[in-house]
Order: sequence, then C-alpha cells, then structure tokens
Amino acid sequence: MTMRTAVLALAVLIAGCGGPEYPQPKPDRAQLIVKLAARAKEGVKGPRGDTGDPYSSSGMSPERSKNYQRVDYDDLADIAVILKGSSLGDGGPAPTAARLTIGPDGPDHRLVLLGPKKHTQLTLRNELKRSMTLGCMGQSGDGFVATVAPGKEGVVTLSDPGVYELNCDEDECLLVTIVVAPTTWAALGKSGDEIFFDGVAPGELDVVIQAPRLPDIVRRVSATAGARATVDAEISVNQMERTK
Amino acid sequence: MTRLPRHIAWPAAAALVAAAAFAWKPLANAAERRERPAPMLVADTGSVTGKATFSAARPKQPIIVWLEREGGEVKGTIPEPLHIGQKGAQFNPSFEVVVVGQKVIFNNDEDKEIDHNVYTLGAEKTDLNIFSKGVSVTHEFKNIGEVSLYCSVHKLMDGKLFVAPSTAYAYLADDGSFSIPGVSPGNYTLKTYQKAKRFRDVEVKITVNAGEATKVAVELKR
Repeated sequence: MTMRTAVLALAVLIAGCGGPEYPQPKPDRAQLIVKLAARAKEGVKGPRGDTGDPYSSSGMSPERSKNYQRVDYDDLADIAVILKGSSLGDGGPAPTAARLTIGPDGPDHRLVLLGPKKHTQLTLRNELKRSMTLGCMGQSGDGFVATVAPGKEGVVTLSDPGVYELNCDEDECLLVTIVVAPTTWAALGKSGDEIFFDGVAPGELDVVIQAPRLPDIVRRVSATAGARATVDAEISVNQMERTK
Repeated sequence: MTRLPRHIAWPAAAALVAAAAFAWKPLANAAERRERPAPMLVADTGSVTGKATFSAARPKQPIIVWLEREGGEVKGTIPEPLHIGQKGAQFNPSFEVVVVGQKVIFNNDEDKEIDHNVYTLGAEKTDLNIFSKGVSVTHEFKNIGEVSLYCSVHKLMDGKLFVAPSTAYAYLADDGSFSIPGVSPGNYTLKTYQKAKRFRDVEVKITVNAGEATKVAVELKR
C-alpha cells in the first residue's frame, strides 16, 4: 500500500466515523442536537461498570450484593431532554405513551417521559406475584393511585406538566420519576446519545436535561432559522457545590 | 417568699424529683421520637393537636405535620445530631425528619473497604464528596423541605430527609391524630409533608396561645 492510498483510506475511515448524518435544516426552521454524556464522580476508583467493591464477589446473599451495584455512567439510560421556549409549537417528538414494568429486579426505568397532551398514557405492568399499589401526586394536584394485580397491567394518565415521583405501598424503595413535558419538544436518550430535534421554531430556548438521581442541567440556546445548534450536556455531580 | 417547713419541703422535693424521673424517658430510637418530638424550651407554650382525615386510602409511609411561624422561628432546642449509617450500601435510617441547624453525621460504617459518596438534591443541593470506611462527614441543612440523599457510586443507595424549621412537628399516628407540644405562642401555618405523596398538601393558618391546646382538623384530599 502506498502512502497515498493509506492516507486516502484513513480519510475514508475518519469520514465514516463522523457519527450520524442529519438532513439539512429547512430555511425557516432550526435544528438542535443535544449531546448527552454522563460522568462518574471524580475520585471514584475502579473501571466503569465494574462493581469494584469487595462485597460483590464475596459470596454474599444476592439481596445484599444487589445493593452494591454501581451506577454505570457510560450506559446511563432514561435521560429526558426537554425544550422550553415561548415560540415552540406542537410537532415535537415527545412520546404519547409510555410503559413501566415492575419486575423482580425493580422497575425497568428510573425515569419515564410523557408528552403534555391529555391522552398520553402510562401503562403500569406488574410482573411480581403480589399486587402493587402505585401512586403519585404532582404540584398541581394531578396524580393517580392504581393497584395492579400480579401479571396484569393498569393504564393511568397524567395531564399537567411537571415532575412526579411514583411511589409504591409495598416497596418503599421503589421510586420512579415521571416527567410530563410542558411541550411536545421532548425526547428520551442515554449517555452517549445525540438527541436530534428537527423543525424547531426559531427563538431563545432552554434545554432542560433531567436524569434519574442526578441534578438537572439547563442550557440556554438560540435556535436560528436555517441553522443547526449543538448543545453539550455533561450529566454529573461534579459541578455541584461541595460541602467538604 | 414564704418558706415551707423543712419536714414538708424535703418530702415534697423528693416527690417532685421522683415524678420527674418517672416521667422522663430518653428518646431511644426513631420510632419513639416520632411519637414525641422534643418540645421547644420556651417558658409559656401552647400545643397543637388534631386529626387528619383522608379522602382515600392512606399510604403506609410517614406523613408529617409541621409548623411554620409567621415572622420567623423562635430559637428553640436543636436536637442531638442525627447519625446516618451506610452499611450494606443503604442509608440507615433511610428517612428521618431533621431540624434546621441540626447536625447530620453520615458514617461510612461498612465492614470492608468500600467508599461512599453522599450528595443531595431537592431543598438543598450539595455534594459531601467521597469518604472511606470509618470516616464520617457532618452537614447542617439550612433549607426547609424534602432532601433526597444519594450515593453517586451505588445506584440503589437512596434516602430522604425532611428538613423542618423547628422541632414543632409530629408524625401522624395510625389513626391520623397528632400532637405538637411546647409550641411558642404566635401565628403559624400548619403544613403537611408526605414521604410518598398521594394527596394535595395542606396549609392551615392557626394561632397558638400559651397554656392552650389549638385543635386543627386536617383534610388530605386528592
């Protein structure tokens, strides 16, 4: 292989690794890409995803070793990205339905995102062998309580935008954040994802990023007609005020 | 001032001391504290008693009634520091009420070399950093409201605190009744806090007079 061929091959390789390709923005609309990245606390030892703790490999009971599961920041899921702005209309990708399954290992999501429309539905599935009574109440007074029989499903609705904390009578530790977005411009992603919003009305926007158990991030961005803006969102406790 | 004859004064004093000793009981555990919060040390106080009713089934998790004083809190007793252990990658206790200014001591009491982090979200957002086995970190919460406790290392290690402005709070008993003794006279707003929120929180304006029990009916509705 000549040097010239090698350089060409390298250029092709680099071009191929450039991430997803997005369509060009419409002249009167803006595009927005939100790059999600979650970071572990500075000073935490051990490789990512590795339990690292001596308990995890010491033959202890599964219940106890379960407590030592580490947060895998490189694979952090259920991150909600919500656009807020006065110029935003409908037409965003917010989900109109969501599903939460409660199984032997707990809920399959720590955060659920719903769009703001009244017909958005949350299906609660109970895969345990006992009934589960689940409920929540938001700041506005909207909420629900549902008892779901073993192996069955229940469908509930939430209309008022806001953040709700789903709780459970039978399991005090079962907590799931439900976010009802104020606009349809909202999407879910995970660490490493690029969340792409197309056809956004131009104007000043707040990009709100909410991840389970982590502080919210708000980024102000100007959405310009015919242009694409990129927002980097690093989700971590590292920016929090430290007491010690 | 008239002095009592010695043959009356000494037995009377002894009886008083005995009665006080009989009545006094150290607050041994969280459950006991829930029934009897420490009163504020104010000479002439009143109390707030009442009962909560529910429009639907009540969740099993704690519900608190607490008082917010108009014009600022009266400086009262700050309870002893609350110790929260972390053994087994669990906050222990996983829920407690603390008072503004009360120290909370997080103890890494693991048996093995396991690091924990404590950070908080909600009414107060702070990061207490990483600490190793045998190390304790102390923090005083200043903001009133719910504080969620997390460890950034362990994904199931969650807890909660409710930060009250003073010791003028009570846990609802099983029948919904509550009693807040030792309340300094003044105007207050009685508020509710639900660990597992199922009802709209309630606010009731009340006045507490010295030597009187102010009765309050609390209706928790959806």
